[in-house]
Amino acid sequence: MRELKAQLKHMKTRGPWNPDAGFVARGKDTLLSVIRSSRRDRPMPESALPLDRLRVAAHLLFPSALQHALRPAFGIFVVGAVAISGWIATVSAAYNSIPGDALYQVKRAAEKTQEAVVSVTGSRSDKAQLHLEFATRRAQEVKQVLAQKNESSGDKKEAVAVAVDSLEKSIATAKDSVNEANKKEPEQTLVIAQEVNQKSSEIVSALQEVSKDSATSANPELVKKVAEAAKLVNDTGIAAVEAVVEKQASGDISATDAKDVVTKQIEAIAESSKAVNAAAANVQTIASSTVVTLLIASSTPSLVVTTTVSGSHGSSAAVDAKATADAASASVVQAVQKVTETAAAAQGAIQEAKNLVESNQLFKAIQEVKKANEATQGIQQVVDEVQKVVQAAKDVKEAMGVTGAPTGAATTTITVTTTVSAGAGTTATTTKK
Amino acid sequence: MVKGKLEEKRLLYLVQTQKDADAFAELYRLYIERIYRFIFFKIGDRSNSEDIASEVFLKAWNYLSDADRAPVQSFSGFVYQIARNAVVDWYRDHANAPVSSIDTVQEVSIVSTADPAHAADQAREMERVYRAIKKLKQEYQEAVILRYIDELSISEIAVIVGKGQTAVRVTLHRAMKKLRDTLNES
Repeated sequence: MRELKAQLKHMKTRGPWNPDAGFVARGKDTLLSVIRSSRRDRPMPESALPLDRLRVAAHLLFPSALQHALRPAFGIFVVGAVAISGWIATVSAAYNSIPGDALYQVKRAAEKTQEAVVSVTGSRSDKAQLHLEFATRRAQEVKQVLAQKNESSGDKKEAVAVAVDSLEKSIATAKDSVNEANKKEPEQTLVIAQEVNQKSSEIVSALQEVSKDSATSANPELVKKVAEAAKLVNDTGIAAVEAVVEKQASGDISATDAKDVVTKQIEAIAESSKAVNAAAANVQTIASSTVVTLLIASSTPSLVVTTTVSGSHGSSAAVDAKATADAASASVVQAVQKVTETAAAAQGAIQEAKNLVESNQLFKAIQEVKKANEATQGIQQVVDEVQKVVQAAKDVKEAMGVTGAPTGAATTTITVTTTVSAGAGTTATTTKK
Repeated sequence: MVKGKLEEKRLLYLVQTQKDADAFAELYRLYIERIYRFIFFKIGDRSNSEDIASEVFLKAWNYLSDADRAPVQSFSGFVYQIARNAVVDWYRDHANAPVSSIDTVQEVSIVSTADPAHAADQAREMERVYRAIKKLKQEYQEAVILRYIDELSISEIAVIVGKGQTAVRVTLHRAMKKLRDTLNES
């Protein structure tokens, strides 16, 4: 037997069962050529971060099962090492800071550190959950900025705009992370959807408060951004829930769990729809007021005379004002009608979705949720159009030097009623004499 | 051995996470001879064995560099599995191909010109062992080649063949006994 083993060992270096040296060399060159032409490879950079080397070391030292179990501990280890420098005390103090505060940059830097740690030690699902948490914080910050009382209106307006911008970006990042996690870690689909449900409702709730604030509703750009943020949140939620429903259909997730996430998504869409309706009502109230003022101004003789005398284009300005007011008035009326119809459609879809969930038709329920979401977006578009018209009317008002209700001999009575039904129904009646 | 295993793990990690072509080239260098031998013992033909071996490494790269695939923990087990499957595919596509024979004597003699007679004896003996191995069933062939030609450890072989170490030892014992009996008969 020993002799046989020796013979076998000898076969390693001799015999046609060993590859030709030329073949080995050619094979390597060909392989590298094919690889490099088909993909862009990224060799580890010379100046790799210490964290990268730590990751490779962890991968080598620990068996894969242990690596997975140790991930949270590893993350804590790294964060703890950073804390030794006293950083963590500053980070704690910065936690409640908002845009404009001295420590706000510290807060954002700490979040970047968290993100880096999760990238190294966490899964894609962990990363998605972290991004959702960040998006929630951005939403809370917008609320806090709006609530500030001691800022000048100009500073506050700027701070709110920056905060909303930040919010939109963080929601977009969270959406990408969630989509990636669902693709690469399908076993985490339910966990991700549940996290999205929870965070979405927190974000939408914050956005609702932001929408209601008068500082927001007076700023068309801000209203638009808030609506875009809400859309992103809803799109993310719907995509996550859709993934759950697909997994439930293939038996990987229980019907109870799937129904639960779908129900929560329906509630989120209903809340979002309310928020948009409320914003629409605010804008239409402002629009009506502006249009009414302009209508009165454009038909007040004293003002027309004044305008004719004072401006070289006085008489055409008055005519323009009337035309603008008429067009604006027509737009507002049309907008009210459209918003009413669309809000009713959204409400109908939401109710239908609820019924379908009751009868365990989850796929169809998701389709109704999408319809409700689209209808809600439709309302926002109408609001955008109305705001443009209102802005045009305001411009004309300013050109005429009209700042408030005009005085003069002429008397005009106009009643404008705006109604938004289904959801946040409001009735605003403006009477001018 | 431990250092070699760690290095292999490091290379595999770089390929999977960073699509590092140089790391993969190093894995190719470490495994090409073994994989070629593995294939050759099953196919018996140099040209086809070269083609299949090249194909195996290209498949390995395509899998490892695809982020959507499940990560591989052991390159050894992974690449041998691809090789095994590639051989099965080859036989399916070439069911009627004639079995080519090798001329071991000539190939070995070219190398050993100092003592041609001894070289020829050695060559004939190696050919005899080769043919005896070929007569073994696949499971025994693989065990003998991996253990006594490639000099892998029992634990490494266990990963490659997907069995426990005890089962591998038992298989090896039976395989060598069968090989010896076959050689004695010839």
